[in-house]
Amino acid sequence: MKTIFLSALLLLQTGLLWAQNEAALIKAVKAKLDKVANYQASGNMSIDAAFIKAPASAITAYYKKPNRFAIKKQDGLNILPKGGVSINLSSLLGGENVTAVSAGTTVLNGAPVRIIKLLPLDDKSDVVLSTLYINEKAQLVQKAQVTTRDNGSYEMDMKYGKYAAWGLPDKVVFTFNTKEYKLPKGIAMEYDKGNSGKPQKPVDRKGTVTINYTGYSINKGVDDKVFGK
Amino acid sequence: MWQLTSIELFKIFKKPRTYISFVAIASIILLVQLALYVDGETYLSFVMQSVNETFSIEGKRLNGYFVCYTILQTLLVHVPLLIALVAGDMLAGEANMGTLRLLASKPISRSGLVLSKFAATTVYTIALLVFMAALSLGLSILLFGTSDLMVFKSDMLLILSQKDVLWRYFGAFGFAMLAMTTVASLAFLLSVFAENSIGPIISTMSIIILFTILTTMDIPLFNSLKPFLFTNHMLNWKGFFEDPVDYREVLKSAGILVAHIVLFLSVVIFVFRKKDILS
Amino acid sequence: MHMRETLISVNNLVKDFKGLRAVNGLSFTVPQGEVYGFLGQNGAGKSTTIRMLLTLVQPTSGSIQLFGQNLTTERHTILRQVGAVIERPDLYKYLTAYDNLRIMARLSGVKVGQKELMRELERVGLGQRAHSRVKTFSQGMKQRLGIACALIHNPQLIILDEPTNGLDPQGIADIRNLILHLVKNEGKSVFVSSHLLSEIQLIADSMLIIDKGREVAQGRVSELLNPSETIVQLHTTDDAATTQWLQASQWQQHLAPAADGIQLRLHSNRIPLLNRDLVGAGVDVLSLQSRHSLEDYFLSLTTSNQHVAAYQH
Repeated sequence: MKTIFLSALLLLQTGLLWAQNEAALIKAVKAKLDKVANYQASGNMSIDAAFIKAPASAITAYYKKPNRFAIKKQDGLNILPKGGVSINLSSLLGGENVTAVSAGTTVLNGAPVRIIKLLPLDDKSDVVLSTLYINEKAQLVQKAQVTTRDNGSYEMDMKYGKYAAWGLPDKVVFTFNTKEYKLPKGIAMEYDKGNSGKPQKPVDRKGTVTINYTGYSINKGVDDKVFGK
Repeated sequence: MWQLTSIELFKIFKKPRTYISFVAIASIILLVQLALYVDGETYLSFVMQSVNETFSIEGKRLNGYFVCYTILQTLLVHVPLLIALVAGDMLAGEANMGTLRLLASKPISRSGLVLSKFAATTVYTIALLVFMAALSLGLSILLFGTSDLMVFKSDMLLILSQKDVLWRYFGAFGFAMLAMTTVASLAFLLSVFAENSIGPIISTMSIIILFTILTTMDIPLFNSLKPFLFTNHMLNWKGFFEDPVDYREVLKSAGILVAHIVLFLSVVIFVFRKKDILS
Repeated sequence: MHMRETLISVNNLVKDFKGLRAVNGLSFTVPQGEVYGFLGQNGAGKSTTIRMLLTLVQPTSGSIQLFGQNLTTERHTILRQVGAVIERPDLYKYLTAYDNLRIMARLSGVKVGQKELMRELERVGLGQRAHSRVKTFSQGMKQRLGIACALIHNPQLIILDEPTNGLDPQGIADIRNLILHLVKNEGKSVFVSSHLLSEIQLIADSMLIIDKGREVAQGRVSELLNPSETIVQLHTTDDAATTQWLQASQWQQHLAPAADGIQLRLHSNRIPLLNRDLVGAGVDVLSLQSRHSLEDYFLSLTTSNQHVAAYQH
């Protein structure tokens, strides 16, 4: 009831006029994405966060309808911000239980975009609110801001290229908030140069994960095993 | 010189106490490996408390490289005792047994005697560390496999690609050899003044423990001493697990250690050449 | 007596240890091809002197020549020709007799084959125990192994510091025979120290006696133990009457002051005559003991540590 009421309120604010348009746009975008039943993409992932330093590494991303997504490294450790990266656009746009609310327009990277807020109607959904910046003409999501119940807020910036027709980005930048890094006493594995003084608090508590996709293999089938569990 | 050194080596490796070190190192390493093999995930989740809040790190986190790092981290602090056990015995032990007078009345120069004994001690030190490397790195890789290495620093978690790890271990073990040779030269120095080996062994350990306490206590007065304490520089094998490696810092530490070795050994030669052997 | 070549020549040797003068101006020469005894109480400075001969201790002043060469400058050449057992022959207890001997040979600069090593071990009666660790050896066995180690490189000069310490009578006799054998049959020279005159007297050709770092006597044993300097200790039923009788007789000039009983100094060949005279005078002799004055002197050092003024060489 509450959500319906809230949605209604939002709808009133943004104007009924747009209502149909938002739903149509989302639908169009989703239809484009729905052409992809599954894909396997290779790319390069790098992490930039205040307290984690890892080498950029080759990864393979797997997707299967409706919302299964996984990023695998060929070997070595797979480091991902919790929650964020594993949610992909399809699943954001997914389910029917979403209310779309228009929040105006803006210009992103020199192109006009529509801002649409999505409110899941399902109380149990981890995603509480997502804001999409959609290029109407290209029917592509340029940016998404997602607030989750358990995994904080994050942002996805997407750049499209060769695979724009499928709604698949060439580059995705995830921005997320990091919590404070603390190590149990006596565990530090480093040499003290003796000039450290007071440990500096990281100023910027945001981290990013950048994935550059080099190629997609679309609708060629993906083995369920890659998603584990 | 080589002949003298080979005689010294023969004596070292015929001495039962020499093998105490090898047994001690093997058992500590095997224990740590067993503990991590059985319950490594608990240890990891303890270390990774705060990391786990933001990141999910999947894969073979508890791999041979990580186990080796954990072993070195805990074990290298204690190896000086094992080094002192043999190095402190080199001159004092012979004085105590009464064999020093046999050696010193042979047609061998005293400096040659000191140098060959030190060379043999160094070979022992290297052998011990190679043994340690074989067990802590080799056996860990066999037991746990390889993957990227997580290095938990006080302000960050550094992840090193598995392809980028092995050479760092070579560097680290090489550095550890230098650090332990410094310990050996200290024990050797104290050994020249003593007539039994207990004294030099205990005083070597006392000095190292004292210096290590000064190094680890975070008190401004002591912190200003840090750059002058060789024990602090002994820990710079960890410098190889920075990315990128701060070679200037590592070389500086290595240089300070070499300077200590040269200083200690020169004093030993100076004192031993003039020493009246009355034992 | 023909003159032999000089092997050791020590000149005005002094060693100070933190205010204590352990060796005080010693000078002596040791001829080649004989046993040279070095006699003194424990603490007289024997070990310090021997350690200086072996370059273990640096002299405060004075010079040492061995084989006619300066010990400081020609150390290696000289030490190659010297074998020594200093005090207890401590060896590497955790090594076998064979390994100990092999190491000592190599340290002395000679490469010795397995056969020769075994032969040397057999010579000192350790052939059966060649491959036992030294820690299982008795004191006597260690002593013999020590001697084998001192001899393995075929040295010209053998220095033995108190070689009979801690040995049983059989062991002592064995060492004595070995020393004599080395000198007589192998042409070696032996420099041997002891605190027992009886021991030195039996084997040495020449000797040096020191006390408190100083020379007390030096020379050929046969001359030092000159029979003209025999002390006769006499006990009779009435010592006072006997003394009176002696003072009136031709023996008067030989009487020497004594704390207990009667003492005379005379040539040993006159003892039978003295005895006959006493019996002729009706003296009831309870005992008549003779000993050499050097022995007497040495005894006084070891018992009361007081010099007998009567004897000064």
